[in-house]
Amino acid sequence: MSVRRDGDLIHLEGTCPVEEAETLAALLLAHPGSGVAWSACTGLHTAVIQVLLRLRPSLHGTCGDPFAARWLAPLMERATDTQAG
Amino acid sequence: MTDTRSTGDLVTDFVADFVAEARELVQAAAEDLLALDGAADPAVLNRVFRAVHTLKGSAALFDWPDMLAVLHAAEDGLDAARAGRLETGPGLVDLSLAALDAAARWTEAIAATGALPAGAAAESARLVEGYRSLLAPAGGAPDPAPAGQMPGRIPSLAPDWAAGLLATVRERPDGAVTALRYVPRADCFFAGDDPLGLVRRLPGLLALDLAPATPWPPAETIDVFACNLVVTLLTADPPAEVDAVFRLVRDQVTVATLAPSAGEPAPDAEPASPESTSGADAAPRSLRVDAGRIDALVALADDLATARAALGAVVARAASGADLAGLLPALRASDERIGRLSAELHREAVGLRLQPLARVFRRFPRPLRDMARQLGKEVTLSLEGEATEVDRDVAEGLFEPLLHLLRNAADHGIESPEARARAGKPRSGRIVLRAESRGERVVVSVSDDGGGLDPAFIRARAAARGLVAPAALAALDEAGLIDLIFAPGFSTAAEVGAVSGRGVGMDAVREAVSRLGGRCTVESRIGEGTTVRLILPRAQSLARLLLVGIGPELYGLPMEAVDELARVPRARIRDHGLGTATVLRDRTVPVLHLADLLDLPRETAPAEARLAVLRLGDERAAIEVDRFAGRLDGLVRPLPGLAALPGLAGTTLTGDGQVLLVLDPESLVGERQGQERGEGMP
Repeated sequence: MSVRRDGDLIHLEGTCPVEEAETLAALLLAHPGSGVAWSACTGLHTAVIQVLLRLRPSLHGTCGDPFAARWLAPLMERATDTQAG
Repeated sequence: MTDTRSTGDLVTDFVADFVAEARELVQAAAEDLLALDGAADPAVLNRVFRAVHTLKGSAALFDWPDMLAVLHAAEDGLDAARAGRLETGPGLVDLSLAALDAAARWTEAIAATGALPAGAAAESARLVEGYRSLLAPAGGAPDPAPAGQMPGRIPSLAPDWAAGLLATVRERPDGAVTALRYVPRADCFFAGDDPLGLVRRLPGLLALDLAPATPWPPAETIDVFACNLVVTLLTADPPAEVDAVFRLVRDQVTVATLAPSAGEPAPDAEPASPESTSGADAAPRSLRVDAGRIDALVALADDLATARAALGAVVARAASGADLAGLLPALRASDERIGRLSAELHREAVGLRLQPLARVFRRFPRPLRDMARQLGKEVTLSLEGEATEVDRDVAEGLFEPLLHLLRNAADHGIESPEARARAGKPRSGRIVLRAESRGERVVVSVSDDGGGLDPAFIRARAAARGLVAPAALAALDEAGLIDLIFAPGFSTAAEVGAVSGRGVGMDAVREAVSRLGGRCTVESRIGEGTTVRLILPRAQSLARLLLVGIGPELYGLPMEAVDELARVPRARIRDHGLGTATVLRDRTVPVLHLADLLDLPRETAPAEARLAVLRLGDERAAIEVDRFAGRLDGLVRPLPGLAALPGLAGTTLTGDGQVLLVLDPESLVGERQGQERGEGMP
């Protein structure tokens, strides 16, 4: 399993393929306010990224996937800011 | 990986299709090219590009490398002109006319002999070289991105969608920058695409933005498998490499080259060509129809007009006071004739929409070969029944589910060559993609001789994912367990692989198939392999129905499945313990009561049973009904909501506007017999 919930945090671990988008969305909708820890995540499918963009959970740590850390993390922050503003 | 050659007839049909299409495309492109000689009109240039692109796609289905090479070179040249990297001048026009001329001559040679003429290789090489030198002239001067020229200058002509992103880039590299806008199709995840996975492959990425393509729906209604993103990016990677990365999604991508040199910014805001791998869907949406079919339609229309005239004469007699009862035979004859003609007309018209599955099947060998290589497996794909015809929409809708099934078969079904050798199997796995007609239905199956599905593993996975309540799970038999692979949220990949892990689950396959009015079943034996069958409607059909009654209710039974109608004394229907049967024409035929099949109460049992004897594949089965109630021709519409209810094919309207349920003999009887066999097992 690459999506696992532990208390208020949902952990993304290893490679998160397209199927995990559904799991992640279900967990985030069932537990609003949960954060997502993605430092152990080494790769994300676009569908998973789309869920993060849409549901904007707070992200904990630096993504273990360098591409996501460099290019996607700033976009997620912006999305969260826009929502806050 | 080989592709089992189909019958000679089919290949001939295919070549004939190609020839007809190639003639049209070459002619249209040549006319457009001549117009280009006068003035460089981007729309015309695009049309030429698309024609060449489509032609290349179709030629790629055959083994004519010299023709393919020329078309490929021409496509590159025209594409460069579209992007503004190459001037649309006499050089390009003349060369492209020469290429089209060669393609036209080769097409005629193919029509005559089935092969390219002698000398094609040399001519092909000359033409390819011509394009090469056009694109990179000997002087090497107009490189679209001369290094070191005005570094950092932001061209004024960046397209609107790239301007914002460009402003965020602090340090521009010296060379050209490519701006790209990628709007993945909403269903791209089902096709196995990972849009950002493509972006990852651009080492020169300078800026990236993601935005929703349409406003986000409310969070609760989020459809995680519908892609709703627009990707905008800037990259310093050379245009050719950018193009290579996005080559499979060209129809979803808009590219602009932001050249640093003055005067030559060439933002090409035209979307790239619609990528069509099947030659059938050429850009102008037209349907190629065999002239014989048109003649038949015209003849039928004539007959129908004559029949109406005859009816008109009867009406005139009635109007002039003729005895109405005396007119009845003439009216009946008229009704019968017009009914027959309208059914025939409908069948012919629907036939225009039929196309052989070969068009879909032929698209698979290449991706499957690539997949197998990527997985380090040896796989042979055999195509069978390619000539089977289905409705065009069904054929088109089948591509993605079948690709998914083939991926699954290659990734999870077929074992590694070493594991196969250990199991005493040939090193190379075998996948068979087969189509066959069964009456008004077409069955398309994907079979592999791999490891099969492990019911124990499925049980464990279903329990772990909470797909089924524990008690229900414990009660499931093997077939029921295997069927769970279609449950949403189930994925049999213990470890998600690069190939099928990109796709989504089998539930997407089932959903796609039910959208087409079909259903799927799976059969698997551990160690021996798996077969997934898709049972699909062949066409929108005007079915001849036999009306049968149970109590007050009427049902339609497709006539084509009915072999004969019989009245049998009840004493001749005997119970053999495994069910009732009777002897008809010296053969034992099982007898099932329609009321039982539909869970309806049985009326009294008359002394003489009315039986509709159905032919199901090689077997016959008799269905007992309370009464026969005539015939009806109707357009049967599948009911998605009833798809899960076996035994029903859909509904049709009766003459007085009532909805009539139409039975599906195959699943009606098949299910019951299957159950009985199942019950009979220890």
